[in-house]
Amino acid sequence: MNTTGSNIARAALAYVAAAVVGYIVAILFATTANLINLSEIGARIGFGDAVRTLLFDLWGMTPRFELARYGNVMLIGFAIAFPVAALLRLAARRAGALPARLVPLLYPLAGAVAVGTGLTIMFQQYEVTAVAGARGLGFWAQCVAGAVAGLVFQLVLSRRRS
Amino acid sequence: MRFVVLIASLLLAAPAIAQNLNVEVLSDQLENPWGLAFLPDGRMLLTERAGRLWLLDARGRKLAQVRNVPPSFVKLQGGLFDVVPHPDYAGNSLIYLTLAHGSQRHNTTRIVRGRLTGDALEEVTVIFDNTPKGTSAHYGGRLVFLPDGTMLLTTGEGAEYREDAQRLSSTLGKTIRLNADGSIPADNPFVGRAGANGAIWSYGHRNPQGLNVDPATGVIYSVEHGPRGGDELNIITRGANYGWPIATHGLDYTGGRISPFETYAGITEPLTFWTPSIGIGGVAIYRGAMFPDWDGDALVGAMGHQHLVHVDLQDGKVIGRTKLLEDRKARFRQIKVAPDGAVMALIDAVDGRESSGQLLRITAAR
Repeated sequence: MNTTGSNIARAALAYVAAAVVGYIVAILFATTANLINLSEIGARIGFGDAVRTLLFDLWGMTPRFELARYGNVMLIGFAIAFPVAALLRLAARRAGALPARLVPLLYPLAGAVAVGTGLTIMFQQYEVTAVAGARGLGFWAQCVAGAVAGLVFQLVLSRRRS
Repeated sequence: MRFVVLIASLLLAAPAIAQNLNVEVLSDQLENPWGLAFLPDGRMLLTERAGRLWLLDARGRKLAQVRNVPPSFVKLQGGLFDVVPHPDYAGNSLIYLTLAHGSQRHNTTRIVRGRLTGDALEEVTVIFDNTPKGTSAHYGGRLVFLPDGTMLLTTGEGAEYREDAQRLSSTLGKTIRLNADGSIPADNPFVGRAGANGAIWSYGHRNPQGLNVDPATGVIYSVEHGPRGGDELNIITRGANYGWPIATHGLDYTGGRISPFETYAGITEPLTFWTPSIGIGGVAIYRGAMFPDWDGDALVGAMGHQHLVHVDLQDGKVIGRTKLLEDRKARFRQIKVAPDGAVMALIDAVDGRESSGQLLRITAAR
C-alpha cells in the first residue's frame, strides 16, 4: 500500500475506534444522567433496571438509516470535526502558530465541539433535547464523551504512525 | 376456503363501511385552526394558532375577527389555543381563551376570560398562568367546563422539564382544575398538602392537547402526545398520576429509553395507546343522534398520521380502533360534536400546505 493509501486507512481506523469508544461513553453518561433524574422524582431503579436500560440505549441509539438517531449525529459530527481539526493542525504548524503543548488538545476539542454542536442543532429544531440525559450538566458530559472520542482518534493515529 | 374468502371480504369491506361519511368543508380559509366552540345562538367561535379569534355563522362563514384578543406568544407550538364559552354564556356572554403568553425565556399557558360584546372582547382578565418555562414546546392548552361549573385545563411539561410532570410544586404536565373565576376549588386533591400547588387535579402528563367530558356520564377523557410511541387516551380521575416520565410506552426520539418502565406501581394506565405515535390531536366523546353506532365512543384526531380515529368503547374498555378519512391528507387537530350530532373537525397542513386549515362538518352519508 502506498503512503497515501496507508494514511487513509489509518485515519479510517482511528475514526471507527473513536466513534465506537465515544458512542459507548456518551450512552453511558446519558443513561446514567437520565436514571438519576428519574430517581430524583421517585422512581425506584434497581441495578437490573439500570443495566437493561443501558443495553437498550446502546442498541437503540446506534447509527441506522434515520437521521434522528444519536449515533448518526455523532458519526456525522466526527466525520466533519476530525478532518477540519487535521487541516487546522496542518495549517497552524506550517504557519508556526501552534504551540506544541496544544497539539494533543486539538482532536479532543474537535470531538467535544462536534457532539455539542450536534446536540445544539437538534435542540434548535424542536426545542427538545433529543437525548434526555444531555440536559443541564448532561450536555457537558456528552461533550466530554466527544473529547474522549477525539483522544482515541489521536492515540490511534499517533500509535500507528510511530 | 370459504371462511378465508369471507374474512378477506370483510377486511376489504371494512374501510368502505367506515368511510361511509359525508364530509363538507365549511371553511377553508383558515391558518392552523386550534379551538372551536358553539354558541347558543348557533354561531361558532374558532381560534387560529397565529392569534386570531373568529366569529363564524352556523354554516362556518366568517362573520368577524374578534377584536381585543390579547396577544399570544406565537412560536413553534405556542400561540392562541382553545376557546370555550362559560356554561351560562347566554346569560353573561363570558368566553375563556387559552394561549401561550410571554417570551422565549419565560412563557406560560394562560387562561384569559372576557365578555364578548358584538365582535369585541371586553373586560379581559387573566385568571391563570401556569409555571413559567423557557421553551416554546409542549403547552397543552385544552380547556373544558365540568358539570359542577369548575373547569379543567391541560398543561404540557415544556419538553425540557419532563420531570416537573411528577412534581406537585409545578403546574407543568398537569390537569388543572379551577373555579370559573380562576380561584382554586377547596375540594381539589392537593389543596393543603405542603409544597403542592392546589390547582392540580391530575399529574404525570406530557403534552395533553385533547380533553373532553362525556356529556352523558361526566367521565373526563384526555389524549396526550407520547414521544416516539406512546400516544395515550386516558380517563382523568381526581389526584391520579399518569406516569410521565417514570412510565411510558414511548422512546426518546433518538432511540433511547425515557424510562426503564412501561408500567409502574401507583400509576394509572392509559385506556389505550398508539405505538408508533399517530401525533394525537383532540378528542370528542360522541353523544348524538346522527351516528347511533358511535354512542359513547371516542373520536380522536391524528395529526402525524393524518386521519380521524373512531375508538370503540364498551364498558370503559377499548374494543376497536378504526381509521377514518385518511383520504383528507391533513392533520386532524380538534374534534367536536355539534349540537345537531354532526362531527366537526379542525384540520391543518391540508395537502401538505403547512399554514392551511379547514373546518369540516362530518355527517352520516345517506
